[in-house]
Amino acid sequence: MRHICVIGDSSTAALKAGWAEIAANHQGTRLTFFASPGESLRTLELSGRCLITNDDGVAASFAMTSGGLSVIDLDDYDEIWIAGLGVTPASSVEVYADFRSEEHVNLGDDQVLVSQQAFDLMVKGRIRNSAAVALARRLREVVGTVQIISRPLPCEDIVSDDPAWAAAVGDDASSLVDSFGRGVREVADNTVPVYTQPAVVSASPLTTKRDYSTDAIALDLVTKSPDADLWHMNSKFGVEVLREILPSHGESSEKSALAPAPCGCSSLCSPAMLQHPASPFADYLKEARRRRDQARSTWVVMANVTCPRAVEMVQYVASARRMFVLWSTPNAGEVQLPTWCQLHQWSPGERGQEDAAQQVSSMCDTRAADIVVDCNARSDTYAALSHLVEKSGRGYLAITESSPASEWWRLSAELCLDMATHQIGRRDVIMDDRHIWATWAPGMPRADFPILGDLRSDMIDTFAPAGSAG
Amino acid sequence: MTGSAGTPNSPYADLDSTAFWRTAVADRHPHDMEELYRPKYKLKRSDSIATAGSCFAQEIGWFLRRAGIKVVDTEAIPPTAWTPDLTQYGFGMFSARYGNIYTPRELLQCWLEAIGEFTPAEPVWERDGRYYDAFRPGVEPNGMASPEAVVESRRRHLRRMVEGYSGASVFLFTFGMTETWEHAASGTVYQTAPGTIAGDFDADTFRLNNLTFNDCFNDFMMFRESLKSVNPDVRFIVTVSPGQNLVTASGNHVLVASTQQKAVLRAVAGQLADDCDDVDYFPSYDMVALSTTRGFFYRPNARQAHQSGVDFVMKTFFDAHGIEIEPRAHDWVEDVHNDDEIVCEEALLEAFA
Repeated sequence: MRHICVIGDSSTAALKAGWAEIAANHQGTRLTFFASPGESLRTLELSGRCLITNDDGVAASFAMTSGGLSVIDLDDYDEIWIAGLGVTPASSVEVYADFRSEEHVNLGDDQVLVSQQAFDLMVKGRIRNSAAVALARRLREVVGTVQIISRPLPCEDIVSDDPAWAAAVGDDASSLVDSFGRGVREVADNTVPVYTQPAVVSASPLTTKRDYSTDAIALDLVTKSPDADLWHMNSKFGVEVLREILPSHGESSEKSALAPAPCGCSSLCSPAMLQHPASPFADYLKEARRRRDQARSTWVVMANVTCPRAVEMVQYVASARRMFVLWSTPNAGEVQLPTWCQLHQWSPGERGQEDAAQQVSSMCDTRAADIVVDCNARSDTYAALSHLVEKSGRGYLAITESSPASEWWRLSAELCLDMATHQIGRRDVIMDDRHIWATWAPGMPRADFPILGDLRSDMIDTFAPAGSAG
Repeated sequence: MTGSAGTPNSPYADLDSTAFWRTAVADRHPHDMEELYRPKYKLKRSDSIATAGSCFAQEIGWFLRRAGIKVVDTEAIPPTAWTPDLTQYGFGMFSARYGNIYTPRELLQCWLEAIGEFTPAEPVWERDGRYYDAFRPGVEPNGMASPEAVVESRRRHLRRMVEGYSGASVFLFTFGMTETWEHAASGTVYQTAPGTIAGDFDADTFRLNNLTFNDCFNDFMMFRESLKSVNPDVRFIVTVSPGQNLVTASGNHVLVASTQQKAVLRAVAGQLADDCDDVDYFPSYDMVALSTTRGFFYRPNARQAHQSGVDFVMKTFFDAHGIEIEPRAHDWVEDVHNDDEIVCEEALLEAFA
């Protein structure tokens, strides 16, 4: 039984109501909610391994939402989720009300006009100063797994109520979401992962479909929010968010039969273990992230990706400002990619390696690429891409799986790219470490990948999960 | 001849102890000089103070905020969005995002431009494909993407500056330097020398102007009169930065040049206070720079005031105004006010040393 503690503001009500509807389908998981309105959770203090509050109102609210508990004993939980508490893409819009970046489409007239860097710093400030990040930083010192679930975006009706929202949603939504993403990467990602609401509930990048705010409820799960309340959501919203998050934490998905670790090998495969302070990966990840945050304007060429989230994740992990995506799937046009991605169809392997290499050369100047990511690696594409990397003299090739939209994939990609970016391992070819390979390609013919034989023995000794295939 | 009380009849006879060096200075610890500053008028917490000037004015602004006095900030970042890196973008330093204004001519020019009475020459500078506001090049460290964006950003900035100054009850200015770089043909002056942060220096286009006493005095008086035409009740506090100049282009030794500049500015500030009932002089320069403090309020480089000197100066200021500084835990101002985060474009010139 995995026991998850959810600490949050009033937006937690939707999660709690959603959980009530799907808990029966998740027998291996238990969620306990500790919620209190607004910023009141800034009163929480760590006392030993307990979170306590001296605010009677917060204590009473905790007791109501948790089923009688007013103190959070961290040892009772496997994971801590922080819901809302100021982390939301809406932060960008709140800055947008008073400031505009020169890169925005709608420059307004009354707002202070600044560079994109200055605008991003303000959004970063909103995230940095949030109660969620403050709480997460304290918790990360004492617990292994902490994550933030961003506050719901407002109902789409907000565009008729608020000029700033109307302008933002109408003209600058993508830019504002990107600002939030960069801010999260610089602030929260050093502490905890941040999950934003799934696309299925969103009316736009900055709003939620009306259907999910109708009959929104309060923390007592009884009181209905007023019709004019555009910021709180209903149980359907909670269900969709939990469906998005739970599979990525080792929970069986209701929508997919994909297991997070298909090889089913050791417990080292679990994301929680990877991030646990005792994990041999923990220090490495911390250092890699620190270095990554210093990197800017990485150019990534990504080939054979089959999942749009994989593109987003690589962009996120590699701090990529330019991406060139070589798409081999027939439905590439249906996938929503960031506008700054250049998307090209290609057909590797049909006419041999040289032809594949020629295709890439004709489509993009890989001499400028910092990282080449070969997803779903096959011998022919691997050979073509590594040939180009070799020619570039400065690029690094990462190989990874791209399919399941899971936390597990994110971690494997992150490890690969950190290695690629920071030259850990071989210069020309960076293999996802033995652990990742063993996890994701247990059936892959090793002979197809001569580089596997070149893996550093110390990495194999250190990171190979027990029982993994050799 | 003697006075009525039998004491010698001298104009010095009835002066109080602060008039005599021995009783006011020599017999007292430098930290304990009474009535070093006698304000012409007392600040109230209800005052709203607009600030501008050199680096030292930033220090004063931080202390005013700490004291709970409203410092006008027309381009303020909401506290919830504040992050210390934003000081490098000119936020939270002064009443608008103009960066340091080192000379009274820059102040006057900026104000006249803001109210539509001056059109500067060469307002946009370029470096490496990015564009900078020539009058505040440091507020966007990486510039902007187009000259049009710079111009539009400046238009909005100046509009807010006018709004802020027009509503202030007190305007506080710290004189910093007399040396300034100007556009030879038009007389337009700039915050930094072209080529320091952006732009290119061309000796045929730009030249040094070392402002005289009359220049500085008249520029400030013109600014004062213009501001009072839109804000008749505004009062002024002027100070001189105790920081010595980092570099001089005058041809003199930097120490000699700096001494001259501070002497001119100190004289201007004093003259303004002597001539104008609404101008008060706060002797921050005198407290830090003179021999009475034996230089111990300076950092080891003997150029910049040490934080202890700033603390002493500002304590004197607030004591004289009867205002207590109340530390505020977890206040964003505390978060921001780091000794290393005072922004000084002039410091960039160190690279040429």
